[in-house]
Amino acid sequence: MYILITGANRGIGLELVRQCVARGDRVGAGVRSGSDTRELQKIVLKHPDHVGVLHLPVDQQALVQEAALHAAQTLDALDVLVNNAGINPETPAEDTFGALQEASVLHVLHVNAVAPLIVAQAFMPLLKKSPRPRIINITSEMGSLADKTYGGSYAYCMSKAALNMATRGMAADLRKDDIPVVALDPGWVRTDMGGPSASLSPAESVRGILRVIDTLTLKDTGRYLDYTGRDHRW
Amino acid sequence: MVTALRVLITGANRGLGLALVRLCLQRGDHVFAAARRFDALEKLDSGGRLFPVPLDVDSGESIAAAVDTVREHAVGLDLLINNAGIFPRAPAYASFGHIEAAALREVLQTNTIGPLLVAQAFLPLLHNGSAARIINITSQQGSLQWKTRGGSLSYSVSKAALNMLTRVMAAELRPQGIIAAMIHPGWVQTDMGSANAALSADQSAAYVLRIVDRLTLEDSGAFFNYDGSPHPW
Repeated sequence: MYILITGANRGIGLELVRQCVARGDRVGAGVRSGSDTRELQKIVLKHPDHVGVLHLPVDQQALVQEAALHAAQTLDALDVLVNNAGINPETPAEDTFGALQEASVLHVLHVNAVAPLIVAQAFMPLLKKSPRPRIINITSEMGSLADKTYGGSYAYCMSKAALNMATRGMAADLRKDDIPVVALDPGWVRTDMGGPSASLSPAESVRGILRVIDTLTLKDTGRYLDYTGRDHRW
Repeated sequence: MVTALRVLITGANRGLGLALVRLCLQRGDHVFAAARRFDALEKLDSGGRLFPVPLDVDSGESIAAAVDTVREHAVGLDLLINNAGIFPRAPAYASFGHIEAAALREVLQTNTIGPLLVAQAFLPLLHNGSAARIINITSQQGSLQWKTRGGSLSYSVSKAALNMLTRVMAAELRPQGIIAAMIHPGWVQTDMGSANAALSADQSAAYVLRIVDRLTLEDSGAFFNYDGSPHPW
């Protein structure tokens, strides 16, 4: 299959590239400019026929559309889109009530919740050419309203609840095209974002994510799943 | 006998906001009516308890000026109702396949960031209030469980983010004795809800205030349907 992964240069995205390539998938690795792609390039060097790097700054709609047009010239179809790119506020000190900064919150909302819609929209023509297209939005348990009974992490939690809603909306809209769309919580993973004390290795999380991707059907559309395939509370 | 409250309502010049102003005035509250225009508010019988507050929730400067305006009259606020919101229906805002990132940002700015900045700016005044409450007017369209149909994308996304904002605020402000909750006001006969809607603005406002009056710190972080029942996430 052909899988497109945004934010593919580190963390869960990078591990997804690694495991997909290892099992023979073809991978489009989306990165933004200025990101550290050394680890990704090592994989490309070993498997130049299986990985292509795309310039995909997800918060710039014109460039996303350009990348999609370019991809359409070289690809027959896109089977799986994984909207994985996501950020935290750059200044954690500003992430408490009273200190929240408008531009920072809006930027996190844009990258984490708006961009997945824009990327999916841009790559829709290629997805529609696949016999079994699927869209996976990497969300977080921190997007669960039911579970959010503690303070802090405003922008991130808001953006993931917003992404879950974007997933619901897309799922409803794309049902007619037989394209399942799900929000997938990868668990708490030892990445730059998750930190060193997180409970899962990227490899464990990604094995779960791939199991979910492989078994996904239209029956699942609109669900909020964790990496083991269980439903998460809204 | 309910004690007169010091109330700030955003989006106060029309629809649900205007109805809330009217009802609060009727029962003796002091109302800071925040809006960009005041033509409808000027027609209300205010009894000297209505204070127009120029406010554009998209502008940090305007919000800061609004705090100064309120401070000229009151040392504290007991109730903040974040009611101002937009629901653009053009395809660039609403329909998958046509979404413009800039359009979605615009709705997030007004419906999500607006209430955040207003609540944050008025927090010192709310700290001086009595059993202070922050009510974010949300929508069924912001309910993930309810959202099984397409369309209205920007609006739904902005309201889900607003609901999460309310949850985080509620958790963080609870130890300070400030209540934050969200209310789906029903489908209301306003410019936003259209004339076919089930509730008049006055009926909806009465429902909202009934919930507000009964709120305790235990309820903080809850999502209410207009009839007072819990709304699913």
